[in-house]
Amino acid sequence: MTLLAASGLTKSYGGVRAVDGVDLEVASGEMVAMIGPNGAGKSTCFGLIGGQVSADAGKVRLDGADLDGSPARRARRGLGRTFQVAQVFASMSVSENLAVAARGRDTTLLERVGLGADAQRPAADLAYGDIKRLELALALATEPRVLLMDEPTAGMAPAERRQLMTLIAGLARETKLAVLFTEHDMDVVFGHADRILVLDRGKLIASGDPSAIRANARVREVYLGHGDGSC
Amino acid sequence: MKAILGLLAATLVAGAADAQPIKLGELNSYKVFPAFLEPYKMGMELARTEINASGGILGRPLEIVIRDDGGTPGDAVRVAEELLTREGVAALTGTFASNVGLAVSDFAKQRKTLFIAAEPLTDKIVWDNGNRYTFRLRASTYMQTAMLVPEALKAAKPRWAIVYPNYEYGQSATEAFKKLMAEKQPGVQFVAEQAPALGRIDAGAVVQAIEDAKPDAIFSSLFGPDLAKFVREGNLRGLFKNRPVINLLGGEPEYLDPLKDETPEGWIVTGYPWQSIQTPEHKRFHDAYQAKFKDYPRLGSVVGYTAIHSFAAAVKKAGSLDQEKMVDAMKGLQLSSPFGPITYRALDHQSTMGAYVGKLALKDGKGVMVDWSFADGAKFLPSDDAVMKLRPKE
Amino acid sequence: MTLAAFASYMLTGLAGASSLFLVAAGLSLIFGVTRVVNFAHGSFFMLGLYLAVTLAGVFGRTPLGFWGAVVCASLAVGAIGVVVERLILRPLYAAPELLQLLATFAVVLIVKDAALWIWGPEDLLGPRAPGLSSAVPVLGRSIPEYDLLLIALGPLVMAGLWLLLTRTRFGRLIRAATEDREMTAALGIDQARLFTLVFALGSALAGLGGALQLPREPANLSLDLSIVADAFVVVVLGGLGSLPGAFLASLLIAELKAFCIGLGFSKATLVIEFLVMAVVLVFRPHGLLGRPDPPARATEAEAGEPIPPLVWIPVALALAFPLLAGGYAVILAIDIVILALFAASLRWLIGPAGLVSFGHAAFFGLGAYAAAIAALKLGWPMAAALAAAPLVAAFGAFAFGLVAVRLSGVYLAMLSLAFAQIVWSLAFQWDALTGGSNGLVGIWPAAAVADKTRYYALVLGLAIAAWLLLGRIERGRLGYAIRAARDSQLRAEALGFDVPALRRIALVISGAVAGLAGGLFVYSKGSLSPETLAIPRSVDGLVMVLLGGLASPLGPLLGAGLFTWLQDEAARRIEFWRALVGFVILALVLFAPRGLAGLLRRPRA
Ligand SMILES: Nc1ncnc2c1ncn2[C@@H]1O[C@H](COP(=O)(O)OP(=O)(O)O)[C@@H](O)[C@H]1O
Ligand SMILES: [Mg+2]
Repeated sequence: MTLLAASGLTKSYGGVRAVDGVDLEVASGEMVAMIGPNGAGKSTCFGLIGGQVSADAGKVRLDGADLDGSPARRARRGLGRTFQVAQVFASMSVSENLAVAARGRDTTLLERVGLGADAQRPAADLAYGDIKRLELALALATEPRVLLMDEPTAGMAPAERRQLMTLIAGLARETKLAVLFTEHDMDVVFGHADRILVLDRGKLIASGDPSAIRANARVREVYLGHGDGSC
Repeated sequence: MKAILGLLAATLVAGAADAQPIKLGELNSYKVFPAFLEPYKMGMELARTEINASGGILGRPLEIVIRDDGGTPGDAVRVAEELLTREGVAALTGTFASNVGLAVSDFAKQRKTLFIAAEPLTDKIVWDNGNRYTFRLRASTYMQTAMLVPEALKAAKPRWAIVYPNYEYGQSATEAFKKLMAEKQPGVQFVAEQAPALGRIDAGAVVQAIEDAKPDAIFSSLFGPDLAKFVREGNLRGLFKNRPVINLLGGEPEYLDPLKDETPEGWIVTGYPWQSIQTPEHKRFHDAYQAKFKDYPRLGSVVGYTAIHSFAAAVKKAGSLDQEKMVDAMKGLQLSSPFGPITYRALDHQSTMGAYVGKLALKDGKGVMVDWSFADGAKFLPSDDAVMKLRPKE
Repeated sequence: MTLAAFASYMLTGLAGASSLFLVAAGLSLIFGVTRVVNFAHGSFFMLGLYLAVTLAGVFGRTPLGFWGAVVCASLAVGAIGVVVERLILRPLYAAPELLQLLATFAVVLIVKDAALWIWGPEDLLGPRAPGLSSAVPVLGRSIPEYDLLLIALGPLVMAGLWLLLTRTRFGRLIRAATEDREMTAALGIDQARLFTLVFALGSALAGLGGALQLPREPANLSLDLSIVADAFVVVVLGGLGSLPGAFLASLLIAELKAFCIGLGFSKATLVIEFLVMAVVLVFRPHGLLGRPDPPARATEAEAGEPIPPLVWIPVALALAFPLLAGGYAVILAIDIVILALFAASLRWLIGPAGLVSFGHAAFFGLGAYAAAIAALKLGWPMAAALAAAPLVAAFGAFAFGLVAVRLSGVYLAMLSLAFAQIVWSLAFQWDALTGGSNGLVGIWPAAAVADKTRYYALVLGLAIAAWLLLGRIERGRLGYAIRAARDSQLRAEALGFDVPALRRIALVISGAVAGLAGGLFVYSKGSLSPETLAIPRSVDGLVMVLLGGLASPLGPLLGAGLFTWLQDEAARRIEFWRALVGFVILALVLFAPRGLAGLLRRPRA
């Protein structure tokens, strides 16, 4: 069942069309990856869905109803997200961070993302990978129905990446969470995504299951054309 | 043994000579208005040495405890508290700005302590907000304005422009001027009023606006940097050509001296022509001051000097440091000042100290007052009835 | 108004605009590159004018003498700027940004006293410019020749700076640094040298601005603060770091002032620039030509362990001591505790909420006036009047919050300053209600607390209650949410927090506490006047908060205690006490950058 649906999302910066008429859908329990070279418009796309970026055109719907207004309003409707540059509360300890996000809910998220031992440490002292983990825990603490993750595994070792994505895939299945994420590590993408969207210069150029994407000629061209297969 | 007795006797005698000093608490905004208050401080010091050289007060030496009041009423009240509680001063004096003066005056009333407000010019301190414990030395805004009104009437000009710093002093001066002129010269018109913020005059535009109103004469109560800017800009743009200008306080050395060769000749002002006052009281003061400080006195010097002598005279008259007795002694107290004899009126606690009214002129590249006459403060006060109406009942 | 009149006001306004722009340009450059909120900029202007007066006297009344004096004064001030940058600011670039503001405030105090010491108390009016000493007729009106020169000079300096910025390597570095500080650092540019050069240039421009006033206004000791406020307004109104913006803003303000005067609204000049700034900032949160702020440096983690509980024992004893000692200790303690409460309300805003206010006195003053007016005009008993103080101040904070929460950083700080100045001008002008510039007198406490020791007990009791409440809120869920909004607005919003609402709540809480302090203040003094909510009180509040340290709730108490006690003692003992206070602040800033409270914390393991 489609939970998140966006249509005709468009955003220009000056002359640059950062996002150009993007349509996408994510069903609950589904893990969808959005890939594309740097500057393709992935983060802007997330901003348009999350409300951090104001759209020139396009519509976002959550569970059939329009999702609009401030980021906070969208969040309260059940949209959780992480940012490419992880955003946590730098002046607080790890457990305080989570307490703020959970607003009194009981949670075992710290243990689940592997930060149980760091609960009392100041968030500012964490390694970047751990900050990303903490941010994920914060996003999940609001018990969202849709989770957007912008490069969730940046700064982590390959083994940690797999572990984290397995955790999220589990959560998605358990809680019927709809997940949309961007990722540069193709192993992660092909290993965990149920479906893949490919963005280039603001336009969606392909979508489908991993095997179809792997075989897609345009996708290969975009990536090889940029000369960096892992970008 | 004899030697020891002698020593003891000597100690006792010395003890009597420098008995416990009488402390007078003085607070002022030394850092905010240094141009006026540095000479003021020296005037006080001269008075103190004179008093102590002639045997002190009631046989005790006078000590002045000087404090900076920070220029704000809040700090001033704290400083006044400090003077009373820690220094145990017998009375308070000083203050410059009207808001500080009023705050300390109300504090003095609250603490039932004599306060001789030396400089604040606001009429309110003796009238609307007058109280039993506060006396004021300087000729007030009203008095000095009134002293200039006869000169304004002599000019016989129908159209006046007014410029004043936008706070109570300038506002009251303007109000008093308009009221007195309207009474004495029916039909007088006030064709422009410019009220720049204190210290921030846009002189070019103000001069132009006055010029645009085509007045026959100008009444100004500007002083300090505002006055200097207004004068230069007006001189440059020819505003003062063939127009009598009357400027409150313009002849006070504190504000006149900085003008130097820019001094606008012919302006009618209140002030202090220290170079040319030949009365014996003034000569004595001037010479003593010059000898002690190697500098000429400014108006502030006279105010500081006279304030201290006022206190000494009051205590001598009261014969005690009891507040109520000192206050009663202040009422109607007469003493001699460098400007001649003055009286603190029992009616409203205002002293009758006058001011000099004259014309500005240039002499050797410096501004001086010429053709001046002394205006006795007693003659420029409203009727007793009018004053009684203003003053709250005790 | 005739065409001729219109033209002549226009020209006067243009001359004023040039003068303003010269000062503002230097400030804009310095802020753009170094992010230093340079309070001492007005002091540099003042020094420029004093030096020019002296030098013009030495060089003699020839054109060469005059212009030589102007140029030399400007260069000398540039050199002084270098000294200040090297000795005072350089060690502070890594410190929290507001600390630099505190350091430059100390410089203001020192320069003021130095000028008094060197040049004496009398105003010094310089000579007219030889060759430009009269007026020329323009459309039948006299316009001073020197005004025409200034009118030309402003755009010339603007053009010169523009060439410098676009055509030279130095200029490109300045622009790069203005746009992205971290980037220039990463590019391996010698930042220290760049900063020094920019500071020299900016200070020299301030000195030039001052020196050029030589024929227009006397050098005097109150120029520094009045100029720096004007310059900040211009820089912020134009958009931080934007020279064309500063130029436009100077023009706007100077012309508005000239025409206000021309049209007979001279009283409006009291606040016109602040009104204009407020209106512009509400509609354009980054000024006329400014761009969104580059993301501010990540908030400092509140480092170190909490203050050890043992520290509270001497603090409690110190607070209790005056109750027993009586005398002047009580009087000073009343002032300290009231100011500490005011500072605590400001720390709550700057610290947990991350909203810097340059106009916090507005809320203190609103509380004070509310209590005074309730007591005098409405005849309310003290308890009711005291209760009105926080309520009215909270209402003021709420109203300010409606327009302010969209802004951040220096823009917000300057909007708060504008708000405070507007409230101040109301208090100043509304004679019937506020007593105008004289203020109101006769607001004394009820008989039960008339005794000073009892009044202190009341003040202390209410202050402790307010501190505990603030502490509870800070450590409670609301406090964490507010801190979260400060740490990362993005994150907080993405978690569903209504950040603008949180900021408004923070403002209202802070305003209420400041208002309570104001109410207590007015009853302790018996009187109040507009200075209760004027700029110096806002600055004092900032100084106390920063001296004490932002990280701990103990900071404001320590800061207010030290600052008030120091001023009280120094003013009593030495003539140049302002300079002494300045030096003590400098020493603390350089050696205890985390404030007094920071000294008490054990560094983090
Ligand atoms: N705030 C912004 N201002 C101007 N251009 C932007 C902004 N944000 C993104 N862009 C531009 O939009 C395009 C898409 O960027 P982004 O969404 O970050 O791409 P991705 O996340 O796929 O790397 C890029 O060309 C980028 O430079
Ligand atoms: Mg991205």
